[in-house]
Amino acid sequence: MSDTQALTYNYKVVKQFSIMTVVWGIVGMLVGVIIAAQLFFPDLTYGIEYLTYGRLRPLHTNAVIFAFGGSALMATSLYVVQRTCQAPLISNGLAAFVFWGWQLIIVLAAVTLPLGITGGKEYAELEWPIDILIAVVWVAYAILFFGTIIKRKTSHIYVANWFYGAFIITVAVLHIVNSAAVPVTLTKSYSAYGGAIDAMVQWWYGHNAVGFFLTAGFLGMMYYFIPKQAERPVYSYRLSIVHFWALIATYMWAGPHHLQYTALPDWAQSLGMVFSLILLAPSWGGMINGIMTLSGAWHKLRTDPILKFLIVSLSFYGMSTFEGPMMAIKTVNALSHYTDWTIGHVHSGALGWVAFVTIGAMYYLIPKLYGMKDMYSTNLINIHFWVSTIGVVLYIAAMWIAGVMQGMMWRAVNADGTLTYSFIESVTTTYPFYAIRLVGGALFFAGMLIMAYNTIKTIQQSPAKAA
Amino acid sequence: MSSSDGKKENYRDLYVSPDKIYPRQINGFFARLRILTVFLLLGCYYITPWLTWNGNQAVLFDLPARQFHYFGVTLWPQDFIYLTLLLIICAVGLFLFTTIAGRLWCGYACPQTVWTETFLWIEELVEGNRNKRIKLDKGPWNANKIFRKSTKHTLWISYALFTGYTFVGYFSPIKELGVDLINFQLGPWEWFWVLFYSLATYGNAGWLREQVCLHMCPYARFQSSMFDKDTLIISYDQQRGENRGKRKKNSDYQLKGLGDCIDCNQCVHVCPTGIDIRDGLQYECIACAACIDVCDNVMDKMGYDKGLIKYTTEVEEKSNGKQQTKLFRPRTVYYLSIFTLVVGSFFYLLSNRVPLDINVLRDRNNLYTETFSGDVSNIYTLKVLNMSQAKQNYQLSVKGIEAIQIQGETNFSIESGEVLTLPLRITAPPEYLQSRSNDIIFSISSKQRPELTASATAKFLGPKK
Amino acid sequence: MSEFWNWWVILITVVNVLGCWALLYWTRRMKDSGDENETTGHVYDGIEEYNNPLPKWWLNMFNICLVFSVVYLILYPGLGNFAGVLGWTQQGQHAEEVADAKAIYAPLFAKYASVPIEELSKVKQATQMGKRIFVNTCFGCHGSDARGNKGYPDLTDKDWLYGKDAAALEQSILNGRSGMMPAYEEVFDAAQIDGLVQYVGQLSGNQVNEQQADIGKALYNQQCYVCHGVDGKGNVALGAPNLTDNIWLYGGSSTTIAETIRKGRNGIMPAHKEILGKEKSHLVAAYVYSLSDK
Repeated sequence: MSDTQALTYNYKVVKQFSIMTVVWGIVGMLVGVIIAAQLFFPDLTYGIEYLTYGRLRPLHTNAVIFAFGGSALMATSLYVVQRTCQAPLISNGLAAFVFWGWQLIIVLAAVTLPLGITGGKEYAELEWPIDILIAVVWVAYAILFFGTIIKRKTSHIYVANWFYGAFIITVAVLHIVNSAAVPVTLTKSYSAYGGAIDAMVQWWYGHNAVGFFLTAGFLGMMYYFIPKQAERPVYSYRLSIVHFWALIATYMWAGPHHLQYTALPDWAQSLGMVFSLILLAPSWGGMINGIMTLSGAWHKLRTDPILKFLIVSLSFYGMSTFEGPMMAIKTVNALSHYTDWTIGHVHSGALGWVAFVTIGAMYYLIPKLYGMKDMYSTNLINIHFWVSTIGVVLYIAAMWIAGVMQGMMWRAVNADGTLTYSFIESVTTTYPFYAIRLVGGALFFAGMLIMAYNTIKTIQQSPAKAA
Repeated sequence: MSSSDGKKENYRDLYVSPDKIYPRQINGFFARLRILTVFLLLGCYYITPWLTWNGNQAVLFDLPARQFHYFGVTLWPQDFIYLTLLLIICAVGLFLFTTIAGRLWCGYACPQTVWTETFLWIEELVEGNRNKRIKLDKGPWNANKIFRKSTKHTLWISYALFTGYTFVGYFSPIKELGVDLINFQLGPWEWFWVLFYSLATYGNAGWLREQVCLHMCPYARFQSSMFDKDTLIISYDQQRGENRGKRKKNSDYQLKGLGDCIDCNQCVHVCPTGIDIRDGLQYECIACAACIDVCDNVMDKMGYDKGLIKYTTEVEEKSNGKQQTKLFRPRTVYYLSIFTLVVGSFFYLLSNRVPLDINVLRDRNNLYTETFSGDVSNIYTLKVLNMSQAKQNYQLSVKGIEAIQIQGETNFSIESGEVLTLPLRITAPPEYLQSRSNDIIFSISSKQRPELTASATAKFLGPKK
Repeated sequence: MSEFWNWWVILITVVNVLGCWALLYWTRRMKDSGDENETTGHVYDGIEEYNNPLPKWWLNMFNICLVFSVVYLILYPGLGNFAGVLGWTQQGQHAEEVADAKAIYAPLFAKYASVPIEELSKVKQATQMGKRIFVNTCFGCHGSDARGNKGYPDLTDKDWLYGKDAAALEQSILNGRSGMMPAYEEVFDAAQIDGLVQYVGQLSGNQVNEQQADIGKALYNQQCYVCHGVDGKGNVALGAPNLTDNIWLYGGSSTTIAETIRKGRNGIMPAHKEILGKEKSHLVAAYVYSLSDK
């Protein structure tokens, strides 16, 4: 990176979002650890209403998806779009607005959710005034991103930007449609849809939040940081075209698989299932492109912990996108639905794929932003990697098996056809699994603390700081 | 899709079948080691469902009954925690062994490797050695080729079907399953799984082979990220081997500036993933050591020292063997301690496992009632599961509050594998209650086998103090 | 679904599936300069792009998934109003599973349906089945142990409001009961009610104030004997409780009895004919019968 570029590109907003990625990662995961502990120690927070499981759980999901994930996506997208388009952001004022607006939204979420102010829609709990704010900030972000693309000095648009672009457009549509509501008071509104349609809109949003926020956006991240860190060309340009279009066309359909065997009409359930299955191919297309890009730099894996994070994230991406279609099959879903298997699946994606690729990208990005070659300590990155891989393993192993066990206990019947176990028995039997999950989650959280320390030290050593 | 059918020469297909790899069979230490593990692992796989224990199938995962029989021990869904620990042991074990010894799993123990190896044996038996196979594939479809190909696939499919049948035999009594299979009387799910597993075996070991390792397997990726510079890898000694070149035996090749590598390409011919190990560490390498064996044979014939290709580490390689590989380094110690911890707790829990489970459910609708005599009473339902192999007579007791009493049965018997639902009323004098919510402990023990004891805590509610 | 939405769903589904194939078809070849390591020529911030061919199995997998979808959408509902060749519906599947379950369990219930309750109460398997139903359905009022709660009768004692009679017991479960004790605060004054309380206590053999009890007795013989009988032993035809056994449904303290007389009581046992059905009710009856038979 030459100095002239550094002067023209807007790195300030990238820096801000990068730092907040680490901060919100810690906050979100801490809340996650607390609610995991609550499942094991139900009296942990002494029944204080603001700290009950029901209020902290949406705080956890919102914090890790939109605060941690969102900041990471904004940091990397605004960095990547400038560098691959060779154009600075169109407006520094707009960039500042996006950053502060997004942070305000997160803070409002962190205040309203524990107060019990919620729209009640999963992953879209925030009430209507905040929803409007989100829409405004998001449009500003879109203008910033696409405006920069229009001003690009390169002839083509790099593949990472297609994914970021798809993510930005789709999330805007999803958010606006799903959040449509009739306000009653400043803090209460009712969904504009009713019954099964509301459920369908909710999961059309919910699964595409996974598909576009947590997949397409992070694939964009993958397409920049993997070739960069591996110092290898992207394996196949054509593959990126094929899997991009197939992925975004097919993901739109997958939502109904969250509503198998419910009041949703049969045809919608079937479509959700078959398109979820088709999704396997384009998803693995992305995984293959990433892995084959890395394969040219295989010898570096032994020494470069950033590459380790990136390769493991791709492995988890491959595993989760295989597991997901399998769980969408009605017969499997009948066993897995409503059990902790789903929680295991989500976290193999969220921790294994989203968090790992983000961590890898941040370890690449943060020193560059502060004018350093590397992070303060490579060793600490290594330790972070060891700690978090074990954390993920404990978490997922516990939740997978717990889910299968719950599914079996719920279905068990006596010789006369009555149920063998009551629900509460399956809960008490899950206790040891919750303990293992808690340890796993705590390890992953500990990894984030190591990252925070390393980040602080890196910034302290930055030449810009010293000057 | 052949490239000659396109009308323009300057186009190529985006999707290509990889060049078929014809690994040559070899003899050598590591090949023998693999044959040993193949026999050991597949032997276990095919024989285990046929073993009996006290007249029953020794290993049977009875899903409809949700009972998992394992050599006289019956595990229940409640015992799934052992499965979790086992899964964690496998994962951490993989990390540990990979950090120390590289892709050992891939080379010797992975089902993909093991079944592919046996499929290759069948291929070699029917179609002959590597050169014959290449010739056969290139040759026209004459009677000989049709005969050999159809024989090979018939053998493969039969073998795969037997594999699928064995797999389902772990879940459905294998002898009855065999009879039903021959009479075409399997249930729909049994058919599905027999055929699915057979197809997976046939497809993976017969057709996909190394493609699975190269593109599909997440563990292959995972393992590579566990490598460090002290990890055992297969490596070609560049310094000693180069410049490679053909030469006559006993000629003074060093004068011509040649190294020990005679460029016979045997290492490439034996490789199941089709790479040239002399190009350095590659992600395709599954560390099967076939190239080591074959190269050692060649070195022997040439009268050179063995070990031109050998198991080594980056540390030894870079320092020319001067620096020792460190077995104990922070990461291996870290993995080893977690591994030991999990394995330890697994065996501790398993050896202390009591085949008796008690669950206490408090009646939800009532906090407490007062009896005529003024005592406080709470109602519970106990669910007692006898997981042992025989009928047991049990004695129930409760403690935690002075003068606490059970109003109901305290002596009862439960058949093996049965759950007894036992509604009970517990009474206690209000003056002995410490607070509104008191912990009480139900204990139950078998009269025949007093070591079968289990207990559960519950809340006993009373009036405000 | 209206015709329009029907065709809309079919159209976008077909377009999406065919679109995937079209995509695979359009991208199946690319220019080849003969140089293996040639990149596309774009460079983005130092990142170049190869155009390596993909493994064929990936294409095959994609095709298999698409073919599966087409076959599935022919067999099962999915394309708008088209019901699928197999005619599958989730309601149909549920009905089928219920029918399968009935085929397995019905003989078990049928076996016991015609056995008289007195006899059935001695069959262990039957009472176990009855007990499982009881702890799921009846525990809320009678307690899991069937010993009742305030206002809800103890089913394990020897006191039967409607008589220890199997047929009456089954009636109670199937059709429910409604027990009504009228309120007397308009009829009697406080002193009179005190007298009644003392007398009722006396009937159950408790130590009482004789003088007051005598006042109570006179009032009792004017009003209460109609339901509870002259001797106070109740009336199983009406479900009027026996007042001589010292068993009190709502509590036996003098204040509680006074409250019962003043305010009256309404005891409702809901009908379970629709909830459990005859065969299960029969088993529950057998279980309950066995409880007080010890």
